[in-house]
Amino acid sequence: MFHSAALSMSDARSIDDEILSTLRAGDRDQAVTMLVRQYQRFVYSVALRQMNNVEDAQDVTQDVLMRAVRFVDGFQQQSSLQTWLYRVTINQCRSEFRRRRIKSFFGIGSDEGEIEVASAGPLPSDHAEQSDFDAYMRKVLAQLPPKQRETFSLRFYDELSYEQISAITGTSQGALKANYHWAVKKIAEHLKDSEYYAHWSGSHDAE
Amino acid sequence: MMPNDIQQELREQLSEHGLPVNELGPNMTAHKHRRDAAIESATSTMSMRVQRALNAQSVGRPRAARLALALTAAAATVIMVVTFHPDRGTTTQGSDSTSFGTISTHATERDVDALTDELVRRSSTSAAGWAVTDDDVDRLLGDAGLDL
Repeated sequence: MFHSAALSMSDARSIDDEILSTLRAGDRDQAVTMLVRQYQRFVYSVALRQMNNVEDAQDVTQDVLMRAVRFVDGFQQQSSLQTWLYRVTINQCRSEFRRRRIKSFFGIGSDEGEIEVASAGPLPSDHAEQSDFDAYMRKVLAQLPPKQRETFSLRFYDELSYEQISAITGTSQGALKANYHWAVKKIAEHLKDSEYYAHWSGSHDAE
Repeated sequence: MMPNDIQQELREQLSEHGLPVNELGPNMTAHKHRRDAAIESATSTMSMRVQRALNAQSVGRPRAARLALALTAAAATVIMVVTFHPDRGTTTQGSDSTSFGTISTHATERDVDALTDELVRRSSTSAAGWAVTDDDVDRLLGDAGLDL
């Protein structure tokens, strides 16, 4: 779904080159627009998994993109912009939790304590079209070990290749494939124990 | 591999685990599409948000500096009250404690911001992953005199 997702790494690198060369040519506003449009969905998707809340994910996304704009001049292309933004997003989320821990310590906004990362809780009902199956899948994913959950999410939801995920997470492709395999196996086990499976099996029997 | 291939791959893998893919497949696809639409909706105004925030930041920084000065001055006044009127008892001491807590929070928040900036700067010049460690956090909190 992301502009960058269905691209090969070399295509993604070309887009990064275009953004950075626009920046270096002095058209900062255009470069910022390109950067934001290219990566906003990816950054938001990663932030949403970490923060588990739409508004918080939007705030983190805004902060990440603003920081990226501030520091992109010094970006030396040792990695892709996507890899860099992934790390910035993860660190920004952790900073946000840290900030809440401090505020909670001082009793500022006492109901804003640290929230469980990727907990199974429902997202705000901003998107009324979200079905029970969406909520069910969130619960299943929340029960996966973090590496398996992140690998599955980066591949299935963010549509990244193993090569891209490997570059982003610094994990070998073999290990990622193993993580993905185990994630799918556990998802399948959960689904088999669910009412959905019973319903699907019932509809099979009826045919 | 294209997105549809990834979805097809998942269907095949779930099928290997004995799940009825004809029923599950459309649910997974619809689930993915709803999530994509929600992300599209949540980020639809992000360009505008970022641009507005960047504009506000250039105006807001001097304002923030003035606010910080005002807060410091107010806190100094409270500390002076405590110094010169120690016999006012718990009410004044309570004010002092609150102000000091506020100052410490502001200082630590600035540290967290500075740390985040430093992480962004370092990762922009390196291929290696560089995530903040608990030691970094402990150092910052220690500098601020906090024990969380």
